[in-house]
Amino acid sequence: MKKAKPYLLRLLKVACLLLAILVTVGILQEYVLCRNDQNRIRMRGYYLEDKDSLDMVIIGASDVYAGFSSALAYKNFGYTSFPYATESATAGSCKAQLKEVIRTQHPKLIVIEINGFLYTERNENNEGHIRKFTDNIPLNTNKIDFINENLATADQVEYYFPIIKYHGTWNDYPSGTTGLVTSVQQDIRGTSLLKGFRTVTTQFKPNKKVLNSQLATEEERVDLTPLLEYKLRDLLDYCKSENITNVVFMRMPHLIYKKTYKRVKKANAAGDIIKSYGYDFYNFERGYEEVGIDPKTDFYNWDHLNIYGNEKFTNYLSKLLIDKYQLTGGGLTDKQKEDWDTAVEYYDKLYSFSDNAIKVTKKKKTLGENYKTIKMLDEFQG
Amino acid sequence: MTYTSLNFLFFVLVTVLVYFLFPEKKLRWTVLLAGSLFFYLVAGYKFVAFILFTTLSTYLIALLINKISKNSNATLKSKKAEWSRDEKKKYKNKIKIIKRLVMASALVINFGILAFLKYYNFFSGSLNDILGAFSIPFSMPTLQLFLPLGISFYTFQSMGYIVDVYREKTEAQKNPLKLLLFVSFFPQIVQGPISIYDQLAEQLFEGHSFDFTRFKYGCELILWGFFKKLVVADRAVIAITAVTDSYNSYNGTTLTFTVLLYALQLYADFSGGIDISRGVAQIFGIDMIENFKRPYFSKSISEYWRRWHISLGAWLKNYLFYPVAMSNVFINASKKMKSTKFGSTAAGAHIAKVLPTSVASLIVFLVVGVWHGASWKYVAFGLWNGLIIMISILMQPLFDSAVDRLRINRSNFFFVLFQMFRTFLVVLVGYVFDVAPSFSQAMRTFGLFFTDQNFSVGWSQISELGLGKKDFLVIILGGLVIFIASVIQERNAETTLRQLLDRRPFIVRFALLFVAVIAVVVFGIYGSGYNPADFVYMQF
Repeated sequence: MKKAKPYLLRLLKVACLLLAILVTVGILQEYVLCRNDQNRIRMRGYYLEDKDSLDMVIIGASDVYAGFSSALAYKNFGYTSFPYATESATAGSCKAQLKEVIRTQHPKLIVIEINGFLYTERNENNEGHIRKFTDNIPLNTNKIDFINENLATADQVEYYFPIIKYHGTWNDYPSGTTGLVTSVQQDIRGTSLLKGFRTVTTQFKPNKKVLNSQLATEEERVDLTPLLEYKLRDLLDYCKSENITNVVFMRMPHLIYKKTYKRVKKANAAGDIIKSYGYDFYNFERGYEEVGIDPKTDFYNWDHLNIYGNEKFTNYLSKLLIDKYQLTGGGLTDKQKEDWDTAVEYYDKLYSFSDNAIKVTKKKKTLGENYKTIKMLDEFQG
Repeated sequence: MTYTSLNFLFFVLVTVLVYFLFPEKKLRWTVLLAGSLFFYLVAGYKFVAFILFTTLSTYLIALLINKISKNSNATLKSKKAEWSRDEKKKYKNKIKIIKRLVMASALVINFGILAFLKYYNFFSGSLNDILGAFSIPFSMPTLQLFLPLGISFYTFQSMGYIVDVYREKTEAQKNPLKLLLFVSFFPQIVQGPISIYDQLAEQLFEGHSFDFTRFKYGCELILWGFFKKLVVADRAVIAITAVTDSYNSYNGTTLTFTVLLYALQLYADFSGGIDISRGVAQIFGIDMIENFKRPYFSKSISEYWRRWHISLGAWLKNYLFYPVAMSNVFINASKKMKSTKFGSTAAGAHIAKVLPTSVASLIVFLVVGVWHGASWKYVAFGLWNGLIIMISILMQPLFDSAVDRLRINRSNFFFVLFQMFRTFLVVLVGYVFDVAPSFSQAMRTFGLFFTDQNFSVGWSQISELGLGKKDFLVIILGGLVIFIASVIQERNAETTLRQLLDRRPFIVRFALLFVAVIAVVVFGIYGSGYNPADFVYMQF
């Protein structure tokens, strides 16, 4: 034992150094040398939700977290939800996102917005869009499968260890401090205050001819690109093979003009494919009038509903899901209830602030979960 | 697989594990050989034929020289009583000529390959220019040639071995695979150091046991190399490349700044790479020669070349300088000068004495220049260094007397500082040839140094070289760390920094290593967000 002591001591010292380095690099990768943008804050917020505490999850892109408010749905209908969504989310990541939602929450209902399937394949291969998902989910078999299936071997190591990609972000500080502080604060608090919601305080005035009035009668189909159709069918096959029955597909409302009209036809084609697998598909682009959305007042840009559109859509969708799928809330602990009540409180403040900004101060501001917005809302005297 | 990649670190880790776990200690060198061949294959399979050819030709010719030497020695021994002194001398001369011819065949073949691949297009282009100037309707074609990885380094190393065998300083290696390992040893193949057979070979073939201290020192040296290369050199090269890409757009101030930055970048890049090489070798229990000894602290340009790229300097001294300086032509010229009227004066006697050395220096530096690249600017670089050294040798008595008359204490700190500064300026002039895209541009740059200094224009140009203020701060701090380490090392020449570090308490060592690793991880230039820079000396 005496002989072994110096060796053990040496081993201990080396282990200590390695551990200190690993922990530090891990913390740097997780908080400091990363893109602490709205996608990361939202995704981290999702993973902070207690296991099996969400009744509904919406998978999709930016139109989802702008157009649907979980806090408002909870306030008016009593069920919990979260937008598992990142900016310009790719179609290819949809299956992995679904797997992640099932792994973490087992919600009563999963709604998938089909935005990613209607674009071009260039969007699909965009590293930035892929990373908004992969960089912000914890390392697990779903992430590994996604990286292995979708990314070139030579690039994979940078997806497993994003610090290789982002270590140069030290250069962004001090401007990067907002994201860092928000991320740390959210983790310490253990819950997201806005439940992934993000909006811009404006009413969009289109400078091109809006074609939404034609959508209700549009029956023409344009095929999805072969890769994206393959991805959609792969997702549907996965749902079938895993016997996932609590999935609903939808298309969010958008302002449509000449350039984006093709997407309406693609959504029709996607709807056919989805229905052929026996799943429900709701195209709110065609049914926007039924939702009560006014193209003149309810958008903050072509693709995103503003606070008014969000309110109308959240209420409409919630009623639909409750009526058709018997979506219910309940079963929350006191702490969870408290968290959701806080989220409602902040949603109300945010609504008042936005309403005031749009109607009174006419100030266009992006509002999402970051400590500056939260501070501003706290100080807002509507 | 560059030395600063994760793949390389993983490759080293695997090779180290296999090496020390290999049951037969005597055969552990085969692990190094397999690793070296794998490394070379990964670098490019089409290069392998060249290194194999050099090894095979070196192997066979060395054996032949060895055989001739042994046979002739045996013959001389057996004929010791029979042969007269003249007969022995005649026989020795005959053998010497045969051995020289055999050795020359190896040198011609291998340096021929190097020269053809590296210089053919330079010579054909220059020849075409000359012929064109005289309207001679002939032109040599330009060829699409590639340089095998490390060809300069392994050619110099293997030819040094041939000369050593010729000089009977070393026995010819009988095992071709062992010679292949000596030629291709992976930590040194990319950019040296150029090792001498006697110094390296036995270490390679000896089966080393794992030694924690060596392992630790090796890792620390690799870390130091990573710091120099990734944090300082690869960051500085971004600005330097921006300047060289559109050289004509910058004023004298920016070019002055660029040359200064280049001095730091080149040192950090080359010495950093060598530190990684030596660190990896040290883990295996192999000590490769030091290639740098704080060159910017040199007090003269000759000293600078004894501290910079030491292995190349040593190679040229052993295999070029001495043969030239000690050749009959130079010795006779020196004697002839001494016997003239001029030679009988003090100045003439000095010049006659140092003439072989100074001319040999000039030749050596011309070779150094050409070795750096196939371009007139490198010829000028060599000439500049060679001429300065030549003049220094010739004028030494004048300088000494001036110092004496001015009653300057040679060890005075400020005088030493002045000497260092003066030498550094001479070095910087040489670097202008390196940085400028061509000889004529280098000449133009010297003009701009004096005629186009405008700090406000320079500052605005420097701020647009692709680096932010924070990057420049990192370069300055990184350079400061290198400087402080160099000062400590200079004051403790007998021990390494790592040995000095070992004498510190655990917490100090722990903190330093921790900070160094984190500094490399955070401030290093690596990953797909950056364009990884090759080691500068890889191209040579």
